Amino acid sequence: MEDAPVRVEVERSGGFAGMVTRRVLDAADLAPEEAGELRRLVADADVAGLTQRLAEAPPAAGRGADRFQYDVTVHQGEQVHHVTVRDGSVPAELQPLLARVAKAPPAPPAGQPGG
Amino acid sequence: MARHLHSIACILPPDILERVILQGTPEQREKALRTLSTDNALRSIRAQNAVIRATGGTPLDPHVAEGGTPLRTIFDCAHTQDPARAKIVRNEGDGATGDASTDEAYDGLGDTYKLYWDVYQRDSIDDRGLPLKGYVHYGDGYDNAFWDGQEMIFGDGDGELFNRFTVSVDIVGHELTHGVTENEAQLAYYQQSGALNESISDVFGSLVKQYALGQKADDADWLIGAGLIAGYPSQALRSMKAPGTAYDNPKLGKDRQPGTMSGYVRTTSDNGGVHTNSGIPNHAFYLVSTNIGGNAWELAGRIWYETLRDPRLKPTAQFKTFARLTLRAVQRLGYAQGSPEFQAVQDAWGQVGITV
Repeated sequence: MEDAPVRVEVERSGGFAGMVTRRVLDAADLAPEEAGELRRLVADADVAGLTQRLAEAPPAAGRGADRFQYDVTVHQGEQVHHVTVRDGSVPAELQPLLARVAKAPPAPPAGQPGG
Repeated sequence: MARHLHSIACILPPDILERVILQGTPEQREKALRTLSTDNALRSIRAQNAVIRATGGTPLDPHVAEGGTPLRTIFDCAHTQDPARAKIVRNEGDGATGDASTDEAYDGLGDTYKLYWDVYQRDSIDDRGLPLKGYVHYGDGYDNAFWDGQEMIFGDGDGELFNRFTVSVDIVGHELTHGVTENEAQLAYYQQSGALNESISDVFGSLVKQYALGQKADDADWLIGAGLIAGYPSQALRSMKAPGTAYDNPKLGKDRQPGTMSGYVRTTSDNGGVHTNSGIPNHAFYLVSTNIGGNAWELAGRIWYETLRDPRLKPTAQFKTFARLTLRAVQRLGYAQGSPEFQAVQDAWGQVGITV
């Protein structure tokens, strides 16, 4: 379980400028301590459960505009989970993982070398 | 305490007005005292107008001098993302502070208020004198500005990709206009209705700039966010005149906005591409303005403003419905089918690929 592959992709879109940036963190590319931290953040985020909870109780159509949108894809071993959240209503359990991924350098769009 | 007080120009119960008088800033105290001594007929007219508007009738013309001045407060978030703890750095009537973000936000809110009041007789976001709150220095190198449903929030930019988000008055106008839209048609912020929402903010943001500069439609640059991209002062985020040409640089790539329906982007990013597809109605507004000529805020802006307030403009409206309603609006303003003005609007939509 500890060595199961873990990879997190976050696409941030929207905002006033409407730009799209993509960031990727793969446990395989990280030093052991950082990889452990990533696995912990992923476990705490519980994206699978989050997807379920958001489907059952979607956040109220928020007021506000020009906020960032985050499309989060978590690969855990064979499983892939996806959730879309927006600034102003990011679930608390997801915030630390998003904050960690935000520190990674921008990656090329999916499908390109290095992406 | 002072931050939680809402519009003094609204009808307030006596205990709240009393709290303002006792605990508000000198500015708020003065305004509260003025409100107390203002003719009560004004406030009942405003209340009546709110009801009349909500039921689809024509509001009364108040014929009073009240309204017409903004009530601005600028808060400094001190690089946190916690507006609740932000400190007031500039109150209405205070002189310049020397901090660029603070003073640009203050002036931008004033310019935006002025467009809406002078040209459209709208008293702030809710047309009842809602105080305007701007929060600056939000976050650490935060590359964004946004409307949170009650106030406008501005980041400093990271300095590498973006400069501070108060750098252009149209950005301030854009954010404040989201509040206006929320008080009127409440266009849902995704897909076509969201792109309309975005476009309306760009339209009135641009008009704020044009009105402040006294520019004719043909002389305006029609750019949104000019000067925002670090290192490329002549580029901008969006062009209403030529969508897809606003920026082209190694940092951000190339502007991908379409200007016609043939370029409409279907995506799940950005709430269905609201900042991308806004290029289409943006371009329509540019074409209406230049087809008609003169100052864009006069007729073109009035058509758009009346459409925004039309009860037939529903939150889920698509481009085509909006276009149809602009034709109704131009007719309501006295320009019949077949007139050059009506034709200007119809042609503009046709040019962007929407036939009405």
